Amino acid sequence: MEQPGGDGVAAKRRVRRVVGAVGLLAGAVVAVVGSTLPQYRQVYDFGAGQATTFRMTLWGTDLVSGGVVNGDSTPVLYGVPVVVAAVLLVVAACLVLAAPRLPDRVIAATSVGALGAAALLLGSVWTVGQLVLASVADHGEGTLVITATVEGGVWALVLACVLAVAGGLLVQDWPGVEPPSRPEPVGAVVYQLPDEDDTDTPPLGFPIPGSADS
Amino acid sequence: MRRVVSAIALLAGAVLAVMGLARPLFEQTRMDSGYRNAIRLTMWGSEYSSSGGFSQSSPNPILFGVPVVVAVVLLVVATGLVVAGPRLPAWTVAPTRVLAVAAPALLIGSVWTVGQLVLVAAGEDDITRGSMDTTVGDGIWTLVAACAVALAGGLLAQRRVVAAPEPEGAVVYQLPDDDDTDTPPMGVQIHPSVSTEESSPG
Repeated sequence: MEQPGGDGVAAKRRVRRVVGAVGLLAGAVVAVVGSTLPQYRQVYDFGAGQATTFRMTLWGTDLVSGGVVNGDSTPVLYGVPVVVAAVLLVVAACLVLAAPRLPDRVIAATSVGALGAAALLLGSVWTVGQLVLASVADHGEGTLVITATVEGGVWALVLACVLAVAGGLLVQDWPGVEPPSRPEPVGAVVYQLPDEDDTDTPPLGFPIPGSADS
Repeated sequence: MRRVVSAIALLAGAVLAVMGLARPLFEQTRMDSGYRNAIRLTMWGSEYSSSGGFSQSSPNPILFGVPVVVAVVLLVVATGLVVAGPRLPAWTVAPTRVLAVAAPALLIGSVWTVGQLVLVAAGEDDITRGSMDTTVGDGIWTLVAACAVALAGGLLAQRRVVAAPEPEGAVVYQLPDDDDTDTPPMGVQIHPSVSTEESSPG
């Protein structure tokens, strides 16, 4: 049967792929959940004992003033690329888990696509992060005092990126590791050794120099 | 050939992205009883103008451009790897393919997210008085073109997986042999009922 060494490598690979797929799936779930959580909160204090709170999620903003919540009539849907990336991550994870039953061509595309989806998520989250960074750096001026806090949504999205990128790296088929399914040829395999000199001996042999003919 | 086209597309994506970074994403001009004010959004913050020249409207501008710059650097690295591919050791093949897709994907994620903002800002018409003129800047179109070109380059860098290297020369497979017994040295005995006359001379 198989050598114990090769068996161990195959088992390790299988575990690595499954862990990677779980990372991709977890990244997708955390990303979608994170998109609905508040990213940051700004409390505007105008100095008259009245404070207004501004909250942002990836699906819009709302303003809470005196217990009244005012939504945004034209919200910026930053969450769209995040959800698309999450869907791609789920597809990639399913393909990775189904890999032993798929042709080699699909497997290579899957591992490239897994990191591509993770990169899409990273690009989107990072861009939103730039917005959050700029917003929490704003402390107001004059009588307006702004207290900004980073909320859980940011950390959820960062965690999602870490999970997705780690999962994407784990499912790669870096060289030195053979693809998951490659049937060994059955029976003997004979390799023909390279033949330097292609000329066969002529039927009547080689003339010997100095013999009767010459 | 494919490799060359792929490298050119990746590099063109990087160049277009850099061009897009310097151009406005959108501009909005408001005219109200003789007063004109305009805002302009770029990848490096928003600018405000009340009488001509634009100035940064916030001391803390939103630097949307940062992830795009990182994506551009990765695109340039990917271009280098694709160009130098044949002269590089074999282990670089898989990372090159992955980077050639991951770098455009990072760019797309970033540009798409900014695009969501531009979509809303360009559709805004909440004015009660005066007139408002919104122009979508060529920055966003340049960035979208950069995404498309870079992704095409990244996909071209992928190559059909070559099956396990073919052994050179002839390969002989042993066919399965059901009956392993060799012919005995003195031949196989023929059953007496079988006539041998046809084959025997005379």
